Amino acid sequence: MDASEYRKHVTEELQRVPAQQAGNRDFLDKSKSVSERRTALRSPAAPMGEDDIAAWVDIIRDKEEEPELRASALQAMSTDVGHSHELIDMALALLSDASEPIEVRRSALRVLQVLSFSSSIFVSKRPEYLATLRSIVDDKDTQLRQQAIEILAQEKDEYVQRRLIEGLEHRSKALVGPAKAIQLLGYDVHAEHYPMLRQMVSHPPSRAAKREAVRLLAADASSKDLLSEIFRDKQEHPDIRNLSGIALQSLAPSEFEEQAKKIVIDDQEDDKLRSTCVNALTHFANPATLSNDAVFNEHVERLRQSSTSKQLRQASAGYMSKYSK
Amino acid sequence: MRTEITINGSANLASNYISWAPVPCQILLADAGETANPVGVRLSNQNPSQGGQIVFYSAVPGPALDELQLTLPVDGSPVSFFIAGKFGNPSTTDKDAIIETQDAGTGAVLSTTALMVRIRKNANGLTAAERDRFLSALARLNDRGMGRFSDFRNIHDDAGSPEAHFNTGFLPWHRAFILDLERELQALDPSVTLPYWKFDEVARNLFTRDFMGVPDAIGTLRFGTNNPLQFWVTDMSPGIVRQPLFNTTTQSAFVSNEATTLNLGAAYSRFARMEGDPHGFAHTSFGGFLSDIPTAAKDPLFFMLHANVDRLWAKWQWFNRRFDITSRDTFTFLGSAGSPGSTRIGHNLRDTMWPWNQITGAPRPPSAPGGNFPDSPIINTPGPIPAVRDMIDYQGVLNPASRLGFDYDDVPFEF
Repeated sequence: MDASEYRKHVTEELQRVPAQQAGNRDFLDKSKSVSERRTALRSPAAPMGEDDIAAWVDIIRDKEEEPELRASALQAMSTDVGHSHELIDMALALLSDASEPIEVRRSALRVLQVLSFSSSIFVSKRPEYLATLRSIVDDKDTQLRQQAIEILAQEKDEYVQRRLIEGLEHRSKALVGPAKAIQLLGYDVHAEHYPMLRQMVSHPPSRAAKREAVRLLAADASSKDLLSEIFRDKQEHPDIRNLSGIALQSLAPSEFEEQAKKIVIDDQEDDKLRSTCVNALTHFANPATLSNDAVFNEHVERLRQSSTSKQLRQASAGYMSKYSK
Repeated sequence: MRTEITINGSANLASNYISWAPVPCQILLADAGETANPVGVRLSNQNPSQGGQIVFYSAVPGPALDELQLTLPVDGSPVSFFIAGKFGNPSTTDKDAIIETQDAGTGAVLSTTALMVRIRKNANGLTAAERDRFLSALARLNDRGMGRFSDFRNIHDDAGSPEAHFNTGFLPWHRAFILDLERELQALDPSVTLPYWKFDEVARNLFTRDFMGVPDAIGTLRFGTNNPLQFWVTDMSPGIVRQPLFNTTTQSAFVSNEATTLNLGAAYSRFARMEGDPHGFAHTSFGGFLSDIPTAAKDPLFFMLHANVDRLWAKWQWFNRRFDITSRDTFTFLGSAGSPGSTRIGHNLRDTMWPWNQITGAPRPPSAPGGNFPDSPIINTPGPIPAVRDMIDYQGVLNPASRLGFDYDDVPFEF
């Protein structure tokens, strides 16, 4: 298809999009069914006139309206919300009001977070937004609560960090499960968190929590020996060893290389872990060292030819294509 | 008898990458043999049914031709012409597009020239080899958190946010940002382009362990054993957190569709509303890194999301012919910061863009990670200190000298 034919094709496609104004009229028409009105919400980003905005805001605020419609209307006019202090305040009020239907509150959170990407006015509302999020970290709705906690954690909010640590120390106070709490603390790990994370690795409440703790310890130089020990430990779950290896690779590349090579040549080792090690060496190891390591390369070549693991054969083939002379 | 072709002004093979926009070429008789007269030659695709395909122009603007006849002086003087990728026929592997030069009289093959029609594609449709080359380059750029990727992560944070968001410069700034990243990837593997995540369609091939990963119960991504993204490290921590709020195997993200976005209006001021929807909604269709500005660029999917945002702008520009930098329909603020009718610095057409301008201190951010804008082996635009205007005519439609050297698979070049 040449460009002019393609232009005709795209023009036809765009002409099939229903007219926005007709959609707005149908949405505002309360004699129509919820389904018809929802279908009429076509073009969320299209600009509205002041009268349109007022009519839509009336619907969003009307507690007699179907919650689903109110929620959809709020999302559909998100760009206009971002242009108005008053409308941002309305969205903040909807989010914090526990008596509002959950669909409306979730929609308000959605819209406010979108505005954090796109609205210059929202920048000045940020303190109020974060305060509203803090007010709902104990909300009875799990989704709302978790989203609020995550956003606050991403914003390195001290209040939510304190609550997450409290929850790890006293399970009855936990906002989220231990693995999620550790993951969220990862947005802003402080040095004083590392002893607690090491403790979590030694006495994990779950494998997922241990994984997350190992992940965060990659930034802690004093945890190098612990990570190295886990990476070598054949009794440890391969998943955790795998992650320990990745963490060690970041913290102490040469030590990782040395241990990874030992794992690769050990036929008693887990094949998935060996594959990961081969891949890590292929992509990131010192090429000069590996090219000259004939003994190791012979081992990898043998794995390429005869390993019973398809993954390991593939990983070894990738390695050999880079390092075979 | 033998001919030689130079592409993009260089005989270096590293220059043999083209997109849909015409690029200058020259051909000459390197060895005239025993002939004493000018030689007629015919240029065409060696294999019209396989690999990237090329069209030829004797001059631009002019018609695109499947083959081109030229007469070469016997003294070896070069003859100029132009080539471009044939729309709809991009390469899938490096140098799979081959120009065959034949003696027009005898049909004898005088030379073959291999190149790549290098085009940004829908990530959901990449071949396994294309996907793996991209992932390998991306992982090497990250280099376990110690590579050049850390600059990209550090640029897109709270401090730099007003340079890149909340105003008209959103689209040009991110065009420059992803082009910078793509050039770094191409320095590692020149056959790689940045694929786009078409967020208004189901992309089940993208959200897999072999590509962008699959979240565990708490949103930490899991990767296939052979996927190098398993070694991804940012801020000294391995791993990526991304929890989709939609079903990635059956649904698109919570965004307006492409037709609705392209129909926002024919003036830039209207189209720029897409910063909220679909762009903002695409980000917030996930929990995890992507859902907040200071952490979004920690996730490599960020760059594919923004490639799609940029593709939508490119398609809108093509459809509405919005390349003229003197028109407010092309860009809203035509002056520079401080001039009458201007807006915040960095969002006016003549403003230079942070961080590539390396200007620090209010009203710019306190630091400028990453240095100047990189050149590429095929083109030296936009130069080390790009301005907003340098991002507009990216195909060189009105000014060939402003071509930036990239294209999308569904956005053609048109004079």
